[in-house]
Amino acid sequence: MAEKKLSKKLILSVAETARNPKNRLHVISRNGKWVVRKEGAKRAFGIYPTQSKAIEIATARVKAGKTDDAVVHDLFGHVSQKIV
Amino acid sequence: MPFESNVFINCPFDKFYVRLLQPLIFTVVYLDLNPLVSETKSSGQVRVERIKKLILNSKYSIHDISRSEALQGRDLPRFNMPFEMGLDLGCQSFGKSKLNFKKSLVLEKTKYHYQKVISDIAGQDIESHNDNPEELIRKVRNWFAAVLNSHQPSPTLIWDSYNDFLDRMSEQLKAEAFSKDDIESLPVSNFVILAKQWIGLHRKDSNKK
Repeated sequence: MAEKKLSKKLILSVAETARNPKNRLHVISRNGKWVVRKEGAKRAFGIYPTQSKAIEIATARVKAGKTDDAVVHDLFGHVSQKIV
Repeated sequence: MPFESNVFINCPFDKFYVRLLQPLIFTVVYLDLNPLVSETKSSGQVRVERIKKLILNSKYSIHDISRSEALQGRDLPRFNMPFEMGLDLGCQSFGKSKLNFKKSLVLEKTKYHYQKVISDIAGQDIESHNDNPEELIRKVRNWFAAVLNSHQPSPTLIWDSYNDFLDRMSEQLKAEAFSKDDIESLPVSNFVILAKQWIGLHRKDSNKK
């Protein structure tokens, strides 16, 4: 069965997100720890021993209006939770 | 793409492995190389001919033999990966001119597992990933930095970018009515094109900063 091709419009819309980072925090695993980093940033905002601590920090920043939202990634990089 | 940039990826396609295949493809593209994957479920003869072509056209190969054992109790081990790895290593040994310069990386789940199932490959570049995508990115990036003998983006930068990409890609696909299942089982060719386009703009933008 032939694979369904993606529309050019959709491919471009995904690509465009690379140069338009959102004001979003990402909670991701790194070397057995959890980091909070701003989208597109080369350095982490903070490194924490547990995922729950990292989520707590990200949530506090969202509630304080310092960032629009935050997403939590699982160990495979997929988004498992969104904090708004 | 030229022979020097092509990377033949020989790996399983089970639902679990997709979670490792995607970061593997993302890393290869991030290093400015071209992943070649044969996902086609065609008849045996057609498939093997296609794989031989991919092997002949790729200077680099990555063979993941981590599924050479049953995933669960009643599953059978998969032998396609060791078979295709044998074809590739044979091509390197018996091939002429540029084929003698082919390089291969063998990935396994746990360190030294290969010694129990396929000890004849001792002496090849073999790395374990523990089914962990971050570790897989690090091992693949470090191997390419060594064989290409050039500076490459850090494993951490690739891992962070991969997380950003997955989030933004899923968001755009969901907006176009792709379900979670659709996104998770995205055909490899679709994933490759999305990753290539995204990384192209991402790297251009990063270089400006």
